[in-house]
Amino acid sequence: MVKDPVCGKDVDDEKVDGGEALGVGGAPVTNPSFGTKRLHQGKWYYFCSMGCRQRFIGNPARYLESGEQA
Amino acid sequence: MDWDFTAEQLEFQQRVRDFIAENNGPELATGISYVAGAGEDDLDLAAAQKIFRERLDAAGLLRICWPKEFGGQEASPMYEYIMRQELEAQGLEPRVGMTIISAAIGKYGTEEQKEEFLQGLLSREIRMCAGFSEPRGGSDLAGLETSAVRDGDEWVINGQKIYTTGAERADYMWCLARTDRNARKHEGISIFMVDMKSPGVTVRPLHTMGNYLTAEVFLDDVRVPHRHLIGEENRGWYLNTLSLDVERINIGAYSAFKRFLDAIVDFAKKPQPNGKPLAQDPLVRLRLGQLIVDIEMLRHLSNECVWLVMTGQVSAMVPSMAKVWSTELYYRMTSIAMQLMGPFGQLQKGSKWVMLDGEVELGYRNSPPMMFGGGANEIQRDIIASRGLGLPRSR
Repeated sequence: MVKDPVCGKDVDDEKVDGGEALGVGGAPVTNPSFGTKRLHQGKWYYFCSMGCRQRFIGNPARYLESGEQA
Repeated sequence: MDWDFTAEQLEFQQRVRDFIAENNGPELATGISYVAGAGEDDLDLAAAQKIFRERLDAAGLLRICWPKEFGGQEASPMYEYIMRQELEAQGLEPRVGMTIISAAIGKYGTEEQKEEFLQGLLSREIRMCAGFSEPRGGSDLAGLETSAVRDGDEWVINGQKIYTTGAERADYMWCLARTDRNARKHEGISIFMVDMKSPGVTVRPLHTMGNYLTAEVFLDDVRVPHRHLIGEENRGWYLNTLSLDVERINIGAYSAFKRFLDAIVDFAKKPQPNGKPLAQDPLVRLRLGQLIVDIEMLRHLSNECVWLVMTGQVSAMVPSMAKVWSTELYYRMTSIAMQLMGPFGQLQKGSKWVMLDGEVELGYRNSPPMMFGGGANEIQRDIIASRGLGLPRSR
């Protein structure tokens, strides 16, 4: 479990990373309600929602100072 | 000035019409017009499309533009354009011809890649998704951040894509990745065929206001064999652009729009509960009259796109104009149809009182994404301004 650097909520990174089921084409498909993530400067950051991620993309430095993920 | 098709093209057009007349049975029904966005995720539709392609193939129509080594005739793209318009005019699935991906591999792929992918792509047995847009890139495709780093005989890809429609059912992703961070942004991009079953690929579905799914795709240390690098390293942007001829013949589904307008006109002619048809209302007449003007404009823009491809001319402006015009026209059409039908326009396919099989409701919901998908209309207008009007680039 990690903290969303924008809103501070807990995000289950293992669930975001792990697919719930395999898609028709064979790729793991995750449940969107688990959250999302973003690769920033070589590291994945996890978010509770796309809204939080979008705010992070707009100004990553602001959120990394206070909400660096473990 | 000759506005008509050649005798051979007219003969081909008739062959397609004969085929449709003989084969347009309920087993090929693809639901509501594909233009409205129906059936993107429908496996029954995929099965119907397979039957449809097999019949087209048996009639000698499927491989018109395919390479000769795959049983094709390598005919001019004009023939696929004609076939597409005829299929759309009857509400049939027009996506049966070449794709950007099969065209690019045919032009720039190695012999090994052609052998591995081309037949499957042409027959649509290999399902693809396009790994273009990224969360930070917005409408600027060349600003992509997904990286690919060479490691022996493999490339290691890290990053993510967004609005990757069809990712959950795709076998491969046509993935644009940055392979040289020091190069200018349009350079240093390469294209990879990424097997969606590779470890490190995860798909996160995104539900749209229409009734289809798109997706985010995460690429976390995904290893791709070097033999799946398409074309020359760092030249992916140009390879992709040069393959756009195929896309250009697909811009502007005017036959589908005309079919939709005909249905709206039929509706307007029918008496309403007050006994009078809407077609007698002056405002309705003005709006419907304007729509046929707009569709005719689209027909000319679409024809010009194909003519440019046929005559080997490069114009970024005309395809951009066709894209802006067609997507905004569809939005106008569905909005007007929604207003004409009043509350009934909101009923979905399957409802007892639904009109026009729910196409208005679905099309209305699906028309906004068309205006920013495939290159946002603002970007298209910027291209028109710089390449068409000669304005300096914006900052």
